[in-house]
Amino acid sequence: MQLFTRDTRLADAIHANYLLIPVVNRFGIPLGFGERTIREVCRVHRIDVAFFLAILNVFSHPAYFPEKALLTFDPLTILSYLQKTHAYYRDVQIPVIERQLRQMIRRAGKGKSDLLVVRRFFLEYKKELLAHLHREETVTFPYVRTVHRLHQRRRSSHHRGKGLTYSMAAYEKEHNNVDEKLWDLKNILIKYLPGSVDAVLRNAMIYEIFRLEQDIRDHTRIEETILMPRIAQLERGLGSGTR
Amino acid sequence: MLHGSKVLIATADRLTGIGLRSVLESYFAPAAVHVTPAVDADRLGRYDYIFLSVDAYLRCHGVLTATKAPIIVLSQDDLRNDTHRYPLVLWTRQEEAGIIEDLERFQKRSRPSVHVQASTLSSREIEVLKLVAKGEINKHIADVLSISLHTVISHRKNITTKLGIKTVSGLTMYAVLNGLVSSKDIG
Repeated sequence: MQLFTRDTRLADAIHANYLLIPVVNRFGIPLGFGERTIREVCRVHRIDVAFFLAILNVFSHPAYFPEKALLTFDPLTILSYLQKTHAYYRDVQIPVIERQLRQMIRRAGKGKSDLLVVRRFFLEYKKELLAHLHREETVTFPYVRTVHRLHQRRRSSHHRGKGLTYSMAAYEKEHNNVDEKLWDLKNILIKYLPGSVDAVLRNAMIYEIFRLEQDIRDHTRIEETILMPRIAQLERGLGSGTR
Repeated sequence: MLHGSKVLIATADRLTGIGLRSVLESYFAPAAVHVTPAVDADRLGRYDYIFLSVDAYLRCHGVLTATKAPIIVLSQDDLRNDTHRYPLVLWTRQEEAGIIEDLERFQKRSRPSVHVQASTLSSREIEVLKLVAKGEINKHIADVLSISLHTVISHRKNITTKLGIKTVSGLTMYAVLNGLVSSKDIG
């Protein structure tokens, strides 16, 4: 798959990687954009085309790292994107998986008690994921906004928010744990849940978990390769500021 | 195993037989449930599950030990704590929900895949896994099994490698699904 450019037609990008559909939706772009290129679609929807392109490429190319563009993205644009991703997990993807599980339980004969065990695990996962998202929204994101605001006002260094590096280490660990749980869930559904449950729903649920897993992985890469370096750069600007 | 299960109900009590058949037909659906007043020893081999009245059980006890299918004894009294006398006891005078719950329990105990899957773990690893699933910490596991902390950690590492399950909750889920611990034990 080639790197997408401003002149790639958006439909071609999606044909190349259909996992981009929800990503495109998160930018407020519905399907039905005809032959428009990425540049044209971004103009219509007033989206920063460089940022949009970087996101599409991060999602489609594991090795892609948007170095040059990195230094110019507006942190608030990045935040708004990350926030929409969170909302997508919370309001769409998790409820979809939960619904599949519920249907499976409703239709189950003798596999029911096994599915109740799976549900218990899933609810635990869901709680941890939501807590993690919430913490990012109430701790990390406000910190980013503060750094951004200070940077714009060119305040002196002792106004800096504290401990981003410190808290980032904690987040990373938490990320790992949340990811591992999702892996376990997938693995159990594939290997250890007996074959006595509805196969169609079970497959659909596994697909959905694979997708969620991939999406979260790319989301994390965006936080690490786009947001964090950008904030570190602003922090340095504040540190060596006007004084 | 699930679809097309062949089930035998042997009881002289016609009403119990018919009632149970209707429950089992929907539980094992689609299933062939055969009700008979007397057991034909030669034909036992074709059934996946055998339900018997206490009388029938006592009469053909000897033949039954040779069959592979789970044997479930039907009782009008609640003999569920009397498990040393009968392998699996189903109390017939309870609501349908209770019967289904008991069937689920039997299913766990008699599921043939348990041995196949669990055999990938050593018996010591299974002991450790059971305790992990019950939420015990390594130190306590070491004490209970009289092994060193280091050994516990190495068992846990092997369990995770063999099963590909990384979290404690994941291991717990595995243990419950395989009937190594009951879901009541995990709080």
